Amino acid sequence: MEKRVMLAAAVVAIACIGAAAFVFMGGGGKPKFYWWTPHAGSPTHIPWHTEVEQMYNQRYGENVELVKVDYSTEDFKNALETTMAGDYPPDVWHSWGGGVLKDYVDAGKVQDITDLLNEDWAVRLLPPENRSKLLWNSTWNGRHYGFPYTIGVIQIYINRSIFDAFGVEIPDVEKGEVWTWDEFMQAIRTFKGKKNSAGKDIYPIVVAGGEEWQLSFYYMYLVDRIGGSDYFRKALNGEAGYSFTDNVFVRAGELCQELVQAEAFQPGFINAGYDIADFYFFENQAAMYLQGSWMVSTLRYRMQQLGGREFPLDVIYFPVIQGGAGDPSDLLGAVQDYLCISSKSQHKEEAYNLIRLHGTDEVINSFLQKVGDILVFDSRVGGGLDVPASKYDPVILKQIGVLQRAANLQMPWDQYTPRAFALKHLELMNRLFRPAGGMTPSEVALEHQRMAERLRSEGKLPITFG
Amino acid sequence: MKKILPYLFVLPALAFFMIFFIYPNIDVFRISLYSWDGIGPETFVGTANFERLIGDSGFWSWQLWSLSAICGLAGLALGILFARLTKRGMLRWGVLGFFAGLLGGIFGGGLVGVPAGALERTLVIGIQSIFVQIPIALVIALILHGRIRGARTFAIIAFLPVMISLVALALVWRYMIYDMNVGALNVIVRLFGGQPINWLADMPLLSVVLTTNWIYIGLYVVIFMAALKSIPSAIFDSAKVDGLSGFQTLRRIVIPHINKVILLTCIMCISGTFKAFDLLWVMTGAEASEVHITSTYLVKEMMYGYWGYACAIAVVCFFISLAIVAIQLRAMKIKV
Repeated sequence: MEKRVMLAAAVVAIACIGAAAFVFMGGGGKPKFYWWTPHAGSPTHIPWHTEVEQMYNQRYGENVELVKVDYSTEDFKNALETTMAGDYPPDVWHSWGGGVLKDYVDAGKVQDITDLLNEDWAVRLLPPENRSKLLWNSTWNGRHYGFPYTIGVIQIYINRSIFDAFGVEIPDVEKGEVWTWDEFMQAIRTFKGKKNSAGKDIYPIVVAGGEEWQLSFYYMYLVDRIGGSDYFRKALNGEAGYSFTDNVFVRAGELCQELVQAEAFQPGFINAGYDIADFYFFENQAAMYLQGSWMVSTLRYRMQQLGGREFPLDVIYFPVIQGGAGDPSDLLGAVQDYLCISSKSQHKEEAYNLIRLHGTDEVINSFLQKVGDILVFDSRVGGGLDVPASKYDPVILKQIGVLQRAANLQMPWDQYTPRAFALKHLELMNRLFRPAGGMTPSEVALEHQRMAERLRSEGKLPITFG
Repeated sequence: MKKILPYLFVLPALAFFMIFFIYPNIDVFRISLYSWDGIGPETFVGTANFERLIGDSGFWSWQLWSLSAICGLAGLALGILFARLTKRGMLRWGVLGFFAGLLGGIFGGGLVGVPAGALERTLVIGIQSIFVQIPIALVIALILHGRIRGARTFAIIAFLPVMISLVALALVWRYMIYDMNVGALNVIVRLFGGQPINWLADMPLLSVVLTTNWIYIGLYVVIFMAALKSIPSAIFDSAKVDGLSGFQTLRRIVIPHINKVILLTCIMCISGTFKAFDLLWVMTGAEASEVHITSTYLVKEMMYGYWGYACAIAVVCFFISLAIVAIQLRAMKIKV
């Protein structure tokens, strides 16, 4: 009896292990290939991505199934890094280009897609004569490693009705008008302590301090305004006469802390997520919001959900610093939303088809309708496609005009630089903006310099593109 | 067949343990000898990572350790003096005095602002948990041991935080207790007319310590309640008859009986702090280096792309933790 029980137990155990292995290995059916995005929770990107996924499986899904996986931004970065380290990355994944992508390219993890981008459909969308301007942050040694989709532009979004209610004049971007720093601080003082029509507090500026890259926007813009568009790159690459300990960076830090001391931001900003910042801005509780153009579609979506409410959105330039070397038309932003393919992918042709699908008029029109950010293929910004103005939100259209007139477009540092510098920079932004117990601007500058020197000694800097 | 069959049944679990626990831990030692960014090839660098650790002020503070060493020597001298005056064991009291001085130096130095690294912060959190969590848990266990109504229910409630996911608890404390606008603590502060405090930004270490103590006191309450049950009730009755006060009962009866359990909980406090990661990481984001403990510090180094260095930190922490446990186990053989 005991032998039979033991035998039965052994058979059940083996059957369970076999079933688990079967499920683990894919459980039969079509092979899958994976597409990772960092847009979990986005009410605009998710429907668009899902539509693309369904379109793909209908057209190309006879022998293979595309599986889209959405992550939140930070989870995406961590998951991608982990899978890259373990050598089992997704087949297709999103990238912001820049130094982080370069780390993966240098490690041989990213597929060279130059030949794909030389196909007729891609040449139509991304004319070769403009590729040095459009694809520089995903190109090394003349080879392309990503297919871009948008240009993200970071500017100060404003609530016109709050400006009008308190008599603050709006500088017109279309006329090239821009505040000085003193005018900016004056506006902050005007808005501080006021209430909106619903009796709720108005904050001069909202910021998602918990997302350090939002804090970084202020620092990066200030460095540009004080030192000019090239200062950061030269300091990063250790060019003679340029260092992160220079007064340009210290002064930028001081002005950031001036904002904190003036209580320009909402209470508890240092830990706020961007859903909190979005909430305050969308609910007419914030006069200004320094954010990326991807925010506009989210705002419009929320207004639609609230019964088609109008939102008095507009955009202004980041203020200039008197005596600064920066061009007032300089912008923060970059070509982004790249699709990259893993060099280890067993489904390269399928991945190429996914990218080709993204280049069809159908998917592009769906993007413009659902997401509506600045399309990199738009002829206004150097692409080869004539996109009717009516396809864009009026504010986005205004920003395209601003982009066309911009002297320089600075890629955010946490995307431009190698991963280690990017991470250190974001950590330092948290320390710089802390209302208490943080670091001085000089200390922040010194830590930037130390990290840059460390990376130079390891051969990871200077960083080059193209 | 009968002899082999038990091993066959154990084999899957053993294989799982070897693959997911033993192998990775051994590999940590190997990777600590390499320079590796996590995605490219590994480069053998020998002890370079450990040499870097010696000079890393983010990991440990030579100022604080110098101060602690001085305090330790002072403690040693005082311990020997005490032992001579009271005719007790000089070695025992000397060693106790040395470690008391050492730990006091770390603690006190940190309080007066001597720069601290991740290692010191870890030890401080571990030490304070010994002096806060264990006494409170012991007092609660003693009260519950007095056969009061609802003792078991209270013990279950106290133990609940231990059973809930640390990530979930971290999020609850971050957004519902410490939040500057809607957090419960700031509601209380406002009720008393104070200004809201940004707990996690302005006092991150204190916030983590408060939360950790709240979670783990329940665990030790349950452990001590079980230990107290091993003391025959007749001894407590005799103590009552002899007119011993509560404190005398605690000192002369309870502690001697459960001293090994107390020392075990001390080991758990220290080793648990070295392993702690999720609570601090989720609650504070560990963005500011003044919050780092050894586990979050090495994860940060890993995120920077210094996996070999992170593994070197892990190896050093392993040996430190092992040394502390060894000392405590040795102390269990000393009659207190």
